[in-house]
Amino acid sequence: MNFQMINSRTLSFIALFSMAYIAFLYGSNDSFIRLYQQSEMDKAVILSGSMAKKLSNISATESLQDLAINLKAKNSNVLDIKILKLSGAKIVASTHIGDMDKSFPFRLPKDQKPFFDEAKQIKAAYKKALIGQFLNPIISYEWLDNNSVNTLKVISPYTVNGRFTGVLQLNVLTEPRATQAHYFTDWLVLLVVALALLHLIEKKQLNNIRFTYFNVTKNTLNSCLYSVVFLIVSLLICFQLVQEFKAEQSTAIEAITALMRTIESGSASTQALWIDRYGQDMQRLNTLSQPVYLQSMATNLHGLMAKYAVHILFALVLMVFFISGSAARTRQAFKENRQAYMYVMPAMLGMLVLVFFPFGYGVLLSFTDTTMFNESLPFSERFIGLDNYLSILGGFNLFKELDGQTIVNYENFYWTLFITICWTVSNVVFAVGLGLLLALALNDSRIKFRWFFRVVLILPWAIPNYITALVWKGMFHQQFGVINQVIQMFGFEPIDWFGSVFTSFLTGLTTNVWLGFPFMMVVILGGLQSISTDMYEAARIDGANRWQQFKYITLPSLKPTLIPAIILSVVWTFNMFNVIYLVSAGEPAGANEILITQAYKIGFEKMQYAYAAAYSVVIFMILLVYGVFQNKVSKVTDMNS
Amino acid sequence: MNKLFETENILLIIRYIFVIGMTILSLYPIFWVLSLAFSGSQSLAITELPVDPSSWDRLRAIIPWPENFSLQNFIDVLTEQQFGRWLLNSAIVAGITTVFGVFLASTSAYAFSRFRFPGRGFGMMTFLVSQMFPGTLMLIPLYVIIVGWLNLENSYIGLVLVYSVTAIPFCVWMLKGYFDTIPKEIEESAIMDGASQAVIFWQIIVPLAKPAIAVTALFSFMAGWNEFILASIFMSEEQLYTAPVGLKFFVGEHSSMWGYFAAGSVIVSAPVVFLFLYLQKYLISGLTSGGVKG
Repeated sequence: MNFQMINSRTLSFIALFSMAYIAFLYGSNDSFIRLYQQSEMDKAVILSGSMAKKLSNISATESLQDLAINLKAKNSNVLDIKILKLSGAKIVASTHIGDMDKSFPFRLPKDQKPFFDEAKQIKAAYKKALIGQFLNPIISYEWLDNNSVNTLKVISPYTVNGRFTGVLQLNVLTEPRATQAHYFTDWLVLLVVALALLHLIEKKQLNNIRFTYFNVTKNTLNSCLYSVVFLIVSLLICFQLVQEFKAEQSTAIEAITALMRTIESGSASTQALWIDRYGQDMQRLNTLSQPVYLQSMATNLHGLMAKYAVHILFALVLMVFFISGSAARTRQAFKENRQAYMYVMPAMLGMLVLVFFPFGYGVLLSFTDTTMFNESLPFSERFIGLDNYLSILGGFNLFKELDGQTIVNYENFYWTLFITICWTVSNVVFAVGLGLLLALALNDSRIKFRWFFRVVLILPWAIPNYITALVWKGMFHQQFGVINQVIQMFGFEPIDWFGSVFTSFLTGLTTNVWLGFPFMMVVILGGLQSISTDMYEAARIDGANRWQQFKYITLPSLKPTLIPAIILSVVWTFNMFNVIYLVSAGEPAGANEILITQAYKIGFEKMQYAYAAAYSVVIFMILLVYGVFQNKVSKVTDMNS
Repeated sequence: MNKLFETENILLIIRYIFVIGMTILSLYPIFWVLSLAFSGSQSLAITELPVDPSSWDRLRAIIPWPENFSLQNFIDVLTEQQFGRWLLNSAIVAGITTVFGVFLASTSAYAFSRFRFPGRGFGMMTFLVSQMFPGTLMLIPLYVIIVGWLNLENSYIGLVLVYSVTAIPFCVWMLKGYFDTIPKEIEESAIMDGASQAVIFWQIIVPLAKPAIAVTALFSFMAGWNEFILASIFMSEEQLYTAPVGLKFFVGEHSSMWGYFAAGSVIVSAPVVFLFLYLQKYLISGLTSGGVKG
């Protein structure tokens, strides 16, 4: 072996390849285990369903206990069977060793109360499912993990004469999972292949071929070569793992089909609604017919492949980073600017963990269909691509029918966007207008007690804004609020402020303008004081009137202070959660919700986490576009002036 | 007599009327809260209206002056309610946030101001962009990190971490603007005298930047003192509520204890308002110098 070959590039390739390999295995392990558990559960569920059916068909003369013993004898993997009759909480049959010497039926002992509770949950779910036309078993399951032996507990309901009577609990011993042990050799073989390939390329001195037409550097060329080789090898790995996955799948499907065949036809249930041990619907209707079953397996495979794609992409980025020399340059830069990076480090670290990472997590979340109920599923199974965005941006159903009337659909994104824009524009216009007028007035040196006015007029800014919001909410109260008292003082009827779209909008606007004008006033005052009086003097001599002075001197001089202040306040107002949330709460019927409060509502009242995340990403994009646009505009105007 | 009606004077009078009108509007809600706080009752109305109120009764009802003065609301809110405890929680959280936040912001602002290093522009830019991240996007991931991974539910540390870090971008921009105005010559002469980088930062720059650091401190303090959504999510035990969560609790969906709310608001606002008024002129210069130069 040529010693030259072992350079830093090769080393980083080996390291990255090994890491990627481990990541592939680790990442797929999850999917393999789920596949295994799923097929084991399906088997147990089919068994339990068929037994429940037998119970339901039993004639009055037969003994339940005999049937249970008989069933257990037939199925070697069944550990025990327990049958509970819900009325009276009686165990009517049990093959559990501790129960064998008892006479049936006996009352469920106190320490087995959880079993009774589960049975009640099954009953509730059964009743609910009946309404939903699912006339077949509802099954609750629990995966009991004891280091060596896995057992599965399945509970399904049984009926007598079509009426819910009790539940049947099965403890099933699962088949042990087969594990593969050839991982190390795979890794070694592929690594050797990859290195040989790279060696071959380097020996042919492809690097020295001058790409005069493309003008590529050696580093770029290298990163391309290494990436391609890496891509080939990792695709090989993925292909192999996918093959394995498929093989396990077909074994599982075969086993299940075989099981379904052995159970007498007609006795196996074809549909089962799954609930977990908390009685929560698992959102998984297990249709045990083959085509649908295969389809659910196929989605698992898609999830696995999506996972691989992410891994490969990530590894490729790292690979290019190292091979192209960026890593070395970064290290060099770090060495040279050690001190600067040390100073930035604590803040950057914090920002990475608590700002940028959550942001990335949120963006990822927006591509899933995560709600409160399926949080625990692996990411690959929640992934739905751009569906959330399509449903937000593509929902043009601005109007809906209600009791024969056409009304605005306040939950529509475009309505909320419209309200948000109205809200932002009106707030900023009023705040800037008031601030400007006040600043101009207070800039007049003939006004007495200017310091007093300045201090008092700043107060609204100083008070925490959630307090202000709650105070205004109180003042807008229909019956006791001060504002309605004023209206009544002049002999008018009190107004239900939160009852109509426009008045409710006004409550928020009033509150926020009250909060926002001091900031504008102070900023503008600062700007006004920096304008020298000579300019006005000169203008007056030239015969400029008051309006002309304002237009040609005051406004242009204010621009550098005013524009950043306006940009800031647009961003603040656009996301002014507190005022809307606390004053009007989007009343009436969510009509006055702005984007940010709507996102909160979707996320934390409707618990649709992913949809809320997508909504938030849209908000961010709007602000980002606004920021870039505003930046361009102000740069252009700066150049012109 | 004629002189009074000259345009200049009329304009001056209009200005007075406008300024005084706005002053009254600014003060009214504040007095309204004060009169509820000192009224000693939980009612939202300043006075009890008779069944058939005259205009005079109505006028009385809008004058923000309590019918009878009483400190009862203040005493009750601090003793009978857990508000005292909540205030203490807020003070602890906001206090540590201030120290930690100022440390984080001043060190990195100094680097951004004084050193030229690869990634500097990018760093400043990402800080700016992070200000546009909607809070609703961050809530769930933050909950996962703080409660799920770091196991900091019902702990001051979780809140402190989040508050001080989320306040960083704004503080860094402000401090950087101020650091830029400190002449470099001061540092250079210190280097000539043999001072180390750490000495320069802690003993020269920080003392010189006192006003800006005071504003940063105020901002970090307010970030911790006024926040209620994260606090209500991270702190599930009533014992550990912060003051804002508690105040919202008083006038939330299921209760309307406006007297307690008003008294609590006065207690919560007072320190912030005084600090704010004291530091406001620095706040403006910080805002404008940081924002304009970029």
